[in-house]
Amino acid sequence: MTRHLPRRRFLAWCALLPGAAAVAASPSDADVQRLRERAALLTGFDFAALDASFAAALWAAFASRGRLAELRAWLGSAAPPAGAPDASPVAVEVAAAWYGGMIPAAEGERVGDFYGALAWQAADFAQPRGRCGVPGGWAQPPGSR
Amino acid sequence: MASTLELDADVVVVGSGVAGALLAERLAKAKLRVAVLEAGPRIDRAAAVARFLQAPVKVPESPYPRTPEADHPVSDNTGHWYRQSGPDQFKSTYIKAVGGTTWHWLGTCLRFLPVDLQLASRYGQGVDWPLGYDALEPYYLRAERALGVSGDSGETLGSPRSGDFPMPAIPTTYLDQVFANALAGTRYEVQSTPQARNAQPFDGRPPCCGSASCIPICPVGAKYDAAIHVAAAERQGARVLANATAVGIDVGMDGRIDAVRFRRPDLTEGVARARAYVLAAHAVETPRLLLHSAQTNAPTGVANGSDQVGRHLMDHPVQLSWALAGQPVWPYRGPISTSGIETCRDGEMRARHGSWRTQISNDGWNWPTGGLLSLARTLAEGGLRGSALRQAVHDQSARHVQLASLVEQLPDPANRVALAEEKDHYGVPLPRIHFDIGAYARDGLQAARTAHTEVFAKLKASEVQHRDGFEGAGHIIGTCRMGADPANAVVDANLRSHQHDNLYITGSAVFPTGGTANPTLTIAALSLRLADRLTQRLG
Repeated sequence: MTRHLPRRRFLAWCALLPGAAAVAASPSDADVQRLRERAALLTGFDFAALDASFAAALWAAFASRGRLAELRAWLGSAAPPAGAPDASPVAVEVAAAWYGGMIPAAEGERVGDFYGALAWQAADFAQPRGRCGVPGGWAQPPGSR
Repeated sequence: MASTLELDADVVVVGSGVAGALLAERLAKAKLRVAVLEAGPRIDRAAAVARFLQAPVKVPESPYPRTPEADHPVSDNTGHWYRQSGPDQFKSTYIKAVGGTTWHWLGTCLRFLPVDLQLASRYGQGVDWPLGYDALEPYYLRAERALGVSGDSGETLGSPRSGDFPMPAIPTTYLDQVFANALAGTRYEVQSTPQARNAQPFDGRPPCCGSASCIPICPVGAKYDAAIHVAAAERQGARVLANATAVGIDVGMDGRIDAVRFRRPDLTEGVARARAYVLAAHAVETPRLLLHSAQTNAPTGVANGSDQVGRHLMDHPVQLSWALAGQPVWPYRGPISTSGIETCRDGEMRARHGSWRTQISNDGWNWPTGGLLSLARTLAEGGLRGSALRQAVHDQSARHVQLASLVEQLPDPANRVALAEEKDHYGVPLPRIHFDIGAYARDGLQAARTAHTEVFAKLKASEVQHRDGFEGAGHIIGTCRMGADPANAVVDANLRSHQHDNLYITGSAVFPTGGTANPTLTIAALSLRLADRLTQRLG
C-alpha cells in the first residue's frame, strides 16, 4: 500500500508557495489532528485510517486557494449530530478529497494518494485500477461483505 | 538542412501501431529489409503505469508522454492538436508511440459481418468494399492467432470462422451474467466478446489479472499491444526508428515514390529509400502526410489526384448510458468489458439508420462521471456523512452499470482531414477537421438510446441517464479509402495507391465503411493480407 503522501513531496510542494503562504500552508500538529478528527466523523472511517500527511497536504491546498479561514471555521464549528447532514462546501470538499485521494490545489486537482483513496476501502469489492486481482475472480460475486 | 541519416530498405513503413508493426514483422520474417519510422518514443510500461496513477484526469492518453516533438490529440480537450471546424466535434484520439494506440485500446477483437462489406448493395447506403468477407476470413484467423485472441470458438457472432481462437474465452463477469439473466428471451442476447487479452499464458505473456485498467494501460502485458510485434520485427532484422517523424514523400517523374523524408526531435533530417513504401500512420496522420507532400509531381498531394485523400472520415459515434441496477452487480473488477450485445449489428433498419453494437462495461460509471472515485462528492453534496456516506458509497457503486453503443456512420466526402494554417514542431500543418456525424448515425444513436432504456428496464434499474450527444469510440476510420474506381478511392483492394505504383496504405484509413465492429482486428487482417501481397511482389 502506498497510502501515505511522502513528507518530502509535501515539503517540496510547500516550497513552491510564496513565503507567507508557505507559513500559512504549514499546519501545526494540532491542526492536522483536528482535521483528521473531523474528517473521521465526516467520512465514516476511523481516525487511524486518515493519513496525517494527506491531511497536511489538504490543509496546504486550502491555504493555497485562500480558503484557510473557511477551513478553520468549519473545524471550529460543532459537528452535526450523528445522522444529521453536513453539506457545507468545506465538508463536501474534504469528503471528496479523502474518498477520491485527490488534493484540490490552487493550480488544479492533483493526485494525493491514488491507492489511499477511501473509496477503494468503502467499495471493498472493487479492484483498484492498475493492480492485479485474482484471474477470473470477477466471474463470481465478492464474498467480502 | 543537411541530411544526417539515410536509410535504405526493401520496404519503408511509416507508423508502428498494429498495422505497421504486424506488417513489418511478417515482411522481415520473409527476409525483406524493413525500416519503420515512428514519430513517438518507446514506452516503458512501468513508467507509463506510474504516470497514469499520478494523472489527475484519467483519460486514455494519461500514461503516454505528449511533447511538442510527438504531439497528439487528447480526449479531454478536443481542440488540442485538432483544428476543428465543426459542426460536430471529432472526439476520437490516437497517440504517437512505438506500438501506437494499441497501448490504450480496449482489446475487443470482433470481425466485421459479411454484410458489413456490402452496405450499398444490401441496404442502399454508403458503398461496398472492393473485397468480400471470404477474402478476409483467412486473414482474420491469422490475425486472431497473431494478436492472441481469447474467444468462444463455438460462437461465430455472425462472422463465419474457419478455425478456432487460439485461447478459450475470458470468463465473463458476474455483472455480465446478471445482464444475461435479465435479458434472456429478449432480442438483446448477451454474448462473450472475443478479446486480445490472455485467458491463459500466451506468447510469453501472462494471463489477464483483472486490473480494471485495460484502458489506458495493462500493467502486466496480458492485453496485446503492437510493441510486441515491433520487438518481433526487430528480432527478425527490421530497423525501427523511434522519434522519427515522416514529414514528406518525394515523388519521381515516373510517378513512383522516391523517398520518405523524416525529422528527429532536434530537427535533423533523414531520408528513407525503398522499393515500396507503406503508410500505416493511422487515419489522421496518413492523410496529413500525403496532403503536406504536395509537389511538382503531385500538385494536390501524394495519392490525391482524385481529391479523395482525407475524405470520408468516420468514427463509431457512441451512445453512452448509465444507471443503478436493481441489485448489486459488483462492477469495477476484471477486464473493462467481457460481453456485449451483438444482435443489433444488422437488420433492415440499416436501410434507414445506423446499426450498433453494445458494449457492456465492467467499469461502472468511470466513463460518464468519473465513477467510484467521484461518487463520494455527489453523495456528500446531498448531505450524507459518516457511516451513512461510507455505506452509500459501497451500496451505490455496487449497482453502477453502463452501456456504450457504437453506431455505424456513413462515409461522407465532406467529413475530412485537411491542413490547418498552424504548424507543428516540424513545420507540418496541424490537422484541420470538418465533421458531421449525419442523420443516419444520429438516428442510430436514438435507436440505441431506446434499446438502452429497454435493457435497463429489464435490469429493474433506476436513475437511468443518457449522454446527450455522442462520445468518440476512439475508432478513426476512412480518409484514404479503398475502392476499385480511382475516381472515388485512394487505394485498390490490395491497398496499393491508384496513382503511385510503389505506395501502399494500411490501417483503418482504408475502410470504405465502418460497420460496427471495433476496427483493430480488421486492421490486422488487412495488414497480414498486404504482407502476403508485398512478399509476393518483392520477395
